Amino acid sequence: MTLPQPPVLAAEKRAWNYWFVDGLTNLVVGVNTLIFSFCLFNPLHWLPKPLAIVLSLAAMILYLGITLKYREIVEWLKTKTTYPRTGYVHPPAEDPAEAANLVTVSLQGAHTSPEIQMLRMQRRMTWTIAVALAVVASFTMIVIHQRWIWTAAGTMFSAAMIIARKDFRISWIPPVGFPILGLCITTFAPPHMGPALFISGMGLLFVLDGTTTLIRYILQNPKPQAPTP
Amino acid sequence: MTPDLQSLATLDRLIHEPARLMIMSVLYAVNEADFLYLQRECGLTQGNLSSHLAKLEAAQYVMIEKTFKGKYPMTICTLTLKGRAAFANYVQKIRVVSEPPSNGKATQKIRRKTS
Repeated sequence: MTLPQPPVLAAEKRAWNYWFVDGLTNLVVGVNTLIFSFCLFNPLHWLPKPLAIVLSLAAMILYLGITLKYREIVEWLKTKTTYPRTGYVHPPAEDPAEAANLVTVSLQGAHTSPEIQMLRMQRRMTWTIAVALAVVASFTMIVIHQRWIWTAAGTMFSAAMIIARKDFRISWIPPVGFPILGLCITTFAPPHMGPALFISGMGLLFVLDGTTTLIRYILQNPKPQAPTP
Repeated sequence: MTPDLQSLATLDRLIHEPARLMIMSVLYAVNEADFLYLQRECGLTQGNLSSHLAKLEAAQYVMIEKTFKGKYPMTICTLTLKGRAAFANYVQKIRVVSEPPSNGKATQKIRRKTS
């Protein structure tokens, strides 16, 4: 028999999940990955040179901008979709500034419970393992120039997605999609197009994941009508 | 009254009320939440939630701030340090009450701390 979870822990978990509930986080990651993949397709080969340079430069600036302002962009999108529907909650502390604030609070004797700290530590551990796996997969893709590497990388990315799935609310689309993507590139793609196709496929998987989650969320939570005076 | 039972009498009545306990539990776990989120989490009506929040605010356990995120107006509720400490203290006392007798050492330790 499993014991019921303490309410504070359950509230923390729900608040954490709430950040991912609308799929906007994955949607923005997907769009950003697609923008990055545009440069990998080497537009100089199939576009007039000035246009290719301008577009590549614009894509790189856009990519860097979205990467640096990721959280602000997601928050802005949430103010349009999520907050009016189901309310706002600040995601549980993860960034250093907030962690420092928690230290201040703990010094004043009103610390966060050890159970919450344990939960956050487990989450960080899951994230670290998933990212490490993705980094290893990316490294092997760069180092090993064999056709089968795309299938192997796809499988490794899929494993990373499965590990991170529960904590970061990733649907089954990326874990299932990655091995298929890798296999397709190994079988059909010309070798020099491998990286570009893999990265753009990755972006598409995240966009698909984010879009389906967003549509489901909007259908489940229609925007409340303004009260009539 | 025995000392064991006396600890029950020192429970913070403001937090002990179920609706306020729910609100405090949610706010303890997060940094800040708005009115709509709290309403959905706790399953309370607007009037009920606002009256409980007003009581918590009067005790300086909760800080309420009206603000905007873009064009969306929000009533943000945050647990104050005083509120955080009060909730932690409340949870500690409840733990002492519900602890099995075999854990005598831990109970004595907490009791010594609280007295």
